[in-house]
Amino acid sequence: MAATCNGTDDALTDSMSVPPPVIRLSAITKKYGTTMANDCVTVEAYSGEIHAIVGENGAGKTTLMKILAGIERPNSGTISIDGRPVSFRGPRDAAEAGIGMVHQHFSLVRALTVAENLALSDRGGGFLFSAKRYARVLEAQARSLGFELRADAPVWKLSMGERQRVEVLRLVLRGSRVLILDEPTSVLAPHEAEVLYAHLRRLAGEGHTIFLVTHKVQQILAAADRVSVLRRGRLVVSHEAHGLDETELTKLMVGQALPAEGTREPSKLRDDVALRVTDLSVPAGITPLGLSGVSFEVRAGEIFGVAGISGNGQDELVAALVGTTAFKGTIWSASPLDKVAYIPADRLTMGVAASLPLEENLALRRYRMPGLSRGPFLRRKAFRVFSEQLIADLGIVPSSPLLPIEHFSGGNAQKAVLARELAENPSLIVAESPTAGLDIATVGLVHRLLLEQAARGAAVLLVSEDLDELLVLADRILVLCEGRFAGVFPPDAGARIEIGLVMTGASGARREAADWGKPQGISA
Amino acid sequence: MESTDVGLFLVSLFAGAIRCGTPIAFAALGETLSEKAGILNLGIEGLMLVGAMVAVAVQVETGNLWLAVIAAGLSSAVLASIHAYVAVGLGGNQVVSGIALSLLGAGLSGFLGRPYVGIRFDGIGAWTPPLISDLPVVGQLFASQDPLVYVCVVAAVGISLLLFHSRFGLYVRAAGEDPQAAFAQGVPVHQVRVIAVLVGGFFAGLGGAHLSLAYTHLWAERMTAGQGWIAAGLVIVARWRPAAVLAAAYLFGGLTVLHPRLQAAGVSFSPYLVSMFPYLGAILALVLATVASRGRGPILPAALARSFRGAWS
Amino acid sequence: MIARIARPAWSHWLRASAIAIGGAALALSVLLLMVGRSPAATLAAVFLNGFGSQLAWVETVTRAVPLLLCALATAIPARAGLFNIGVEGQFIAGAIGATSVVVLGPNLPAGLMLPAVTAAAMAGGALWGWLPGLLRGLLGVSEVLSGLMLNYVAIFLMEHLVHGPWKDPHALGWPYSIAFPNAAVLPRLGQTNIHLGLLFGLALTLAAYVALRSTTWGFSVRLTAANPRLARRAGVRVGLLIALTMALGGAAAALAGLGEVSVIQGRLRPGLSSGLGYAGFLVSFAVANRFEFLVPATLLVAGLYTGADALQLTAGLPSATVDIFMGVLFVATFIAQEAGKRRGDG
Repeated sequence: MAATCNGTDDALTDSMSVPPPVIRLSAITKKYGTTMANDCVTVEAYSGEIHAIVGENGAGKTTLMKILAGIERPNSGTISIDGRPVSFRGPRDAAEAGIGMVHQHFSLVRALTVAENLALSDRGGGFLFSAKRYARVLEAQARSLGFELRADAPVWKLSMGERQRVEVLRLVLRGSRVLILDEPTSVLAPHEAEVLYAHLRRLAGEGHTIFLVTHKVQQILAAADRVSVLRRGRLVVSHEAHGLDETELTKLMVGQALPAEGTREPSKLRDDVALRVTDLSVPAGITPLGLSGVSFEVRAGEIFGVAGISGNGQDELVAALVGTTAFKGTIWSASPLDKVAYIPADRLTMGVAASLPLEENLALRRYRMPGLSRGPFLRRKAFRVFSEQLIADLGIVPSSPLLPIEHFSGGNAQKAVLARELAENPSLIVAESPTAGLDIATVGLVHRLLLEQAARGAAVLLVSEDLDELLVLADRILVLCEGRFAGVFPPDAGARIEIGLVMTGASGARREAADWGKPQGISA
Repeated sequence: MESTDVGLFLVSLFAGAIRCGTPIAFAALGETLSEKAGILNLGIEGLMLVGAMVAVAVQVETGNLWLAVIAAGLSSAVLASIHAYVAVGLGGNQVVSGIALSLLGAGLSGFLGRPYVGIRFDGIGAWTPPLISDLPVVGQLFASQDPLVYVCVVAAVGISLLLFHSRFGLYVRAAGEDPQAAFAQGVPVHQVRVIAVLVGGFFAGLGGAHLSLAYTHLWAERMTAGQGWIAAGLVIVARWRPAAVLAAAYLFGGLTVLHPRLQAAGVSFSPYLVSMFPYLGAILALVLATVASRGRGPILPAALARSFRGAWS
Repeated sequence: MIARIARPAWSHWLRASAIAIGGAALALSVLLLMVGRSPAATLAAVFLNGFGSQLAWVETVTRAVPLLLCALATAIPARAGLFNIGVEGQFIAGAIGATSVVVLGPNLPAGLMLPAVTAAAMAGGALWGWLPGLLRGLLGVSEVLSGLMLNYVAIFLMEHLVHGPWKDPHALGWPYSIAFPNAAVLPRLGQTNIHLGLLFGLALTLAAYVALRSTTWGFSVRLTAANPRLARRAGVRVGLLIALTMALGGAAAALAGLGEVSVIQGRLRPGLSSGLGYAGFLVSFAVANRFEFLVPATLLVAGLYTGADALQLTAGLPSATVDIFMGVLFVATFIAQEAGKRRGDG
């Protein structure tokens, strides 16, 4: 089953005797700049199959599925449907060929009812439209497919799970035979995920082919027929789900521990606490799970990693720490919370003022302090000196202080955010996926900066979905799962598999921080 | 006998309210459609003026009333196409474009309408449709109104049906609530918004035509005197529902015609303070709609006055 | 890529303006030809009447003063990301405020009169700007729609006052307030109607320009416009700032109202503003709300109005001619700006 990129394609010759796969992605390669998002990946899926595409963040799963859905075009490789090669110029072509994708961010109009939303993409019907009548027809159709649907309800009243089922139903009603779901359970509460899987099972039973892009090992093994594991853009294995166990699958996903860059020697923890979070709860809203009853301590000079699959409480934790959400419980910090340095995941909306020049973006945390201002006036010369220093220190390119930051690349915008936030010599740094989407050189720079800050004595709370990054940088790693404390681990090679299991919810027993780092991690 | 006097007074008051509120009702109905599609058009005042002027010009030149009415609507729609181009085609600022359009409409109507200033003409006269006059109360209110009053009622029903019971209306609402999602689901957002702006402009023109042909029977520069802005306010008061827009416009018309009648009856109060109520009411309604739109069911079209630059396709 | 974007914004703006003025002249020419006039002669006459003599300049500057103040009233909140469409109402509220002192405190000592009138005017305008600012900052209510409605509340309040409680019994039934005593009239330049408002306008423009560029407050304003969430994190009290810039804008508009009611009209009377607020709004947006361009832009627009008015007397063209020219000019400016932006994006 493993793909070979140079030439002969054995599988196609077999197709004379057995029915060809519904979908065959052959030797798909996709490059973004110098990064290989997909490196010669071959995957086949048959009618009635739930096919899980698994792998860590950045393994190339979503890219592969976007290629199948016609959203991205591969650099090389072919797609065939029922044994016939096809070529998609856009999502519309893929939709016509019966392939539909449900994205992580739904495309439903909140103010309209379910029936009205489904009517938007229904090209049939005359000029007049009765939402009531359409709703009845829809409910009947949905029932025949096993969906219970409140077709008269406006979308804003629906739960995330219900919204997702509406999206799935829309694809099915529009004649999609192949459904792609990107991280479908990341926004769902556990019981809703079970409902979704039951629906998908039933659709598969009726001959649909379903691709699931996901992290959640336990759910994959329960729901999928076949699992293709990607790692760093390459297909590791494509295997029947039956016969795999959680540990084996997790190992395939995260790879065997490679201490190449040297996991950090767990330094001796200092005694002074920089941040103490006690019984912190944030109601659902930012994500459906919220955060419940999380407690931990971060020491000065420590990089404290926070691991977990996206949407399992990290966003809530960060929002509470930087003061953008209401919470219950207590957050105690050695320095005032408005002095916290914050490196947000969403650079453009939270990190920079896009239309302002670089130098003003660099100075916006301290423009009212003496040094950059005198009385009510800004000291422009001091601005320039201050910003040129930071530009030189971090190598921000182009080094033009007056250029609006919207014209800088993502990496250089991130450097500007780091430069600005770290220039305050913060005693607590909250960094949220600080290297996502950056090139290797910048990733290295970000890592170096965070390590320097820790060495200086700052406490760093590093939220990342990239376990490798946490293992390299962190002194300890807190794992969140479904909005709850799931353990604190040392970053040694042996912890990798265990962390993987705990964060995917595969390991039933939550580690109560008993054996290691007890005084620091107190579970509620 | 006194009760009959009061009855007659009320009937004449309400009939006057309907007649006086109709120009605003036309314009506000058009604006409702446009805003439902997410496009705020603050050029209504200018569009009404152009409609009023063109209606008079065509009536005077051809003597054909219906041609005059249609021409008024069409010319306002043509002027509104500028707004459609800036706001939809270029994704530009709707507020600024609307205000500029208002100025342009006032200028154009003043310039081109100069030969018609002061000319008196019969205009649209009363007409009682069959059956209506036999109805109790409603019959008395609507008897002997001019035909455009009936057209306006039909338009309100029509726009209501269009918005809530037609596929196009569904597209309009989707485009005004969430153009990105609507576009992703295959709704031709740009085209829908352009059509809504043009039809909205057409109705503003009809409002102008009613004002000059049926209400004042003459053309004067800037004769709308702020009725276009009132229309924008009434859309908010009516919470973007066509039937309520009609009612709000009649209510406003009632306030306008009430004063001279009460004064004649010896009751005196400031008509100007009363005239403030619709605007204060609009502000209150706006605050309530904004607060209620948070997290719960949207009342304000969520994408109102936001440009959408999705790819043309 | 950087080189293209790094080109200074004003060259883009200048080109857009040139295209717009050309387009507007072209459109007006077509209209003039339609009514049988020579476009070249007419346009030349407009310019000559607006800028060709000392008398023309006096009239142009007189008209430019309220326009500049109204444009400022738009530009200050606009730099915080707001649309102050309520300038018209703030202008009237300022006039009402000024008149209240004259009507209610006619016996104030002469030396106190002018400061009191000015303060009351600014308070009225500031209140009228602050209200939509407060609703926006506190509750997120659209300042466009609430400001628009408040314009009419101000207009009807004025109508009520001059028809009722503030009506001058000696005005032969006309809806006028009593005349402003000399002590309450803004000082003027010689025999002209150019009043102290000019200095207010120039000083405010300069102050706003400097404040926006060179003060911490100005930085907060620009930061709020660029990214309100980040501004909040940087310690800016965004809601307060929004209400404050709107109130400041209202006070600027009020100074225009003060000049109009005290110098030009001499009393509060209906039809005081006739769209100056909207004109100021458009002028400000036509120069992308940049303070350094406000003075030349208002002079240009005021000159065109003056020239066209003279034309009305001499050539028998309707006064609406200038409205068309302005309307086309503004529409063309916005089209050229937006089209330029799109080219820049792509």
